[in-house]
Amino acid sequence: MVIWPTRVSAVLFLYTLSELKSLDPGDKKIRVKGDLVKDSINWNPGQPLLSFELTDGENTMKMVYNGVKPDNFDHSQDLIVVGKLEDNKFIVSKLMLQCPSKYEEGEE
Amino acid sequence: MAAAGTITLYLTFFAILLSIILGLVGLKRRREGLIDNSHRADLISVVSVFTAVSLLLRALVSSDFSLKYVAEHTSSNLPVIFKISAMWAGQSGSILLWLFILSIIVLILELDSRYRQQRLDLKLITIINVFRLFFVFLLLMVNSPFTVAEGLLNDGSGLNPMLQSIGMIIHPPILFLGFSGFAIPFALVISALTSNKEEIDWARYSRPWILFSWVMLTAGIVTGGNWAYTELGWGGYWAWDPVENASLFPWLTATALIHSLIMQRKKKGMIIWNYLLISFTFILTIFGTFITRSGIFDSVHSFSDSEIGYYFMVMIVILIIFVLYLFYKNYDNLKFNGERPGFFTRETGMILTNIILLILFAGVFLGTIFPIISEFTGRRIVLDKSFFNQLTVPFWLALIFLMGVCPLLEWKKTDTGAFLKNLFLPLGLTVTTLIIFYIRGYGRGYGQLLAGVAFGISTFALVVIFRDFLKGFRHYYQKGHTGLLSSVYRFFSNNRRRYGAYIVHLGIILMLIGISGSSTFVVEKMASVDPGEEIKLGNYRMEYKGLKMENWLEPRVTATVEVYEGDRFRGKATPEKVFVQGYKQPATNVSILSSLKNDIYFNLAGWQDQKAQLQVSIHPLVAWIWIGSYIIYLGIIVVLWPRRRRG
Repeated sequence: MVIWPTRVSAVLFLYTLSELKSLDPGDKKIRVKGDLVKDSINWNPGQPLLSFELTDGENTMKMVYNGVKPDNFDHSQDLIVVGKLEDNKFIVSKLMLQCPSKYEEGEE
Repeated sequence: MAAAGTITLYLTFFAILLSIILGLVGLKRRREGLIDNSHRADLISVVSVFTAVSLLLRALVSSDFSLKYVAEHTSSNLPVIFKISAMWAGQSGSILLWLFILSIIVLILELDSRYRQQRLDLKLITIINVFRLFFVFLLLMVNSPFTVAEGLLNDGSGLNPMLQSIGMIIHPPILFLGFSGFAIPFALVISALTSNKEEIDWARYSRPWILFSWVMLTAGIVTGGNWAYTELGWGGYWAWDPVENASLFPWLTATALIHSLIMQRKKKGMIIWNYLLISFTFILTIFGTFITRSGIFDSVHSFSDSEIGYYFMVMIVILIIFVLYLFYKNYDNLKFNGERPGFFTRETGMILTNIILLILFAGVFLGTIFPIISEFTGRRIVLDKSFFNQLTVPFWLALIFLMGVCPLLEWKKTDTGAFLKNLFLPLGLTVTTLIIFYIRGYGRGYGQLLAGVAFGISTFALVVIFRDFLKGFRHYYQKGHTGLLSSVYRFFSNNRRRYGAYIVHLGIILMLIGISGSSTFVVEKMASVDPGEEIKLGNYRMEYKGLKMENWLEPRVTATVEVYEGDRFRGKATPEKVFVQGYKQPATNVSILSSLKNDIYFNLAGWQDQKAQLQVSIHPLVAWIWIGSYIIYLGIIVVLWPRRRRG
């Protein structure tokens, strides 16, 4: 697929949280989606360091993000994160919140 | 209110249905009476759509929370402008807006006498009415804005602070205007291909609509990019997000179409090509809505997972089959055996432009739907931003290169000697630019190298275009005996197409310069500072002055930073966090110091007492993206400016 010289890995592998649990840590770029566990959010702006947990109902994984907490984060439900797996935690390089879902369904 | 709205929608549905049936039968049997009644039913449907829109607007503005839609998308303390824009904050409202715009288009067709010949008006209206019927059907059966709220509500859930921005007011309706405008060109080709014998010059009729839709689509994409740029967490002005790509698909095919229509107008063929491009551009506008609304792809801008997407999918499949069937049936009529152009001609340039745009489309399209394709291999794979950048950059550059080469080529036959002579100055200046670029110490690494190539090619195209302007104008000015200003006006008004197009190209080149600069040379820093402390980034010294807490109206925390370049004061930035009622996390207002050279972007990430965590980034040349877009709008105004009626 990639015609031009690749400098950065352009491929993200999609995993579910349960698949991630049984995966070995590595450098593979992974994208995973989950529900934000509301009371797990810990934000330290001084570092900056944002940690939180994502869950699919059964499996939960700790996420660590060395970046700024985006707007609307506390109100998000679905979250997509890109990053790599370390021992029992996921190092997030990119955080994606869905557009404020006042668009239908939204938060109850 | 709910009952009145619903009745209005039903009235619309039956009026449109009646108009379609009367129209089809009337056209087939040539019965004047039926045709007149079809027009009447159509006008009734237009009026009832306008009524439905005003009912919804009244409910939104007067905060009538007995309507579920009003309760879900507004609250009583929301500024009026956002109560109005809530019209397109939700799914059913957006569809009503789309229906409204199509109804305005239908009204224009009813009133404009140019469409009266050969009953063209009724044919076009009937085709567009099929889509209006589809939208009313969705509103009635799937999701109505006039659904009654459950229980008695004192207040609505409001509009998310991230959506309370100028982007929310302008971006969605502009994009919908762009989408809807393609309905007329589509109706024109379909009516040409379904009615026998009668010749309709659909290329001529559809041209202004295509240009109008194209510029609206461009404006929709740019205003969306601008909104995402000023809103944290949306990934900057362009992130190759599926929903963003969805608006690019019809833009790419429409851009190709504008060029291949010139070929058709100059009797050089490409008729089949144009038929297919018009049809698929229209289908892609619906596909865009499908991607946005179905939630089939994970997107930052995904609005919902809802069944409405599947209705759109069915519509798309039917349309594709229908378009291909008509194509197959009319293949012989559409074929055009024009003379084959020589290779070294403007014709070749136009065809290459088309091919490159279509390659770009195919690449971005496949990249976007790749997650679904890859599912067959067992592991769903998503392609990252970097994939799209690597794939498309060479083709964007090739397009800019063609913008420079094409004015030097001539129709039919190009004089090679003159071509080479004309190439001398632009190439010379390009090389000079590149040398200066490298002497100044840029061009290290792959990204900067690419930016250098982009600047070089842009210089080339800019020089060619400017010289062409000047040459043409000097020639004109020396011949005429009028003043300079009136010469400028006449020069443009007599060559609107050519020079309007050059202005559009100029705008696109400036945008490319802005994109190259801002995507390659970004620098960023995160700093924790006490009042009086400085942050150093690039050539800038940023002095943090302190935090200010306000409790007036909406409580907010504002940091003040003074920015100096050497000793020269650049400006004062005031990034802030605002606490909006009903939301526990504060909303961010970034502060951007913008100049032609760069944007300095401030975000107040956090604070403790007077200590602030500031995120600062410098984005070179961003302003040129927006300036380029204004120049594009200007160019299209020049192209579309009504011709003075002569004698």
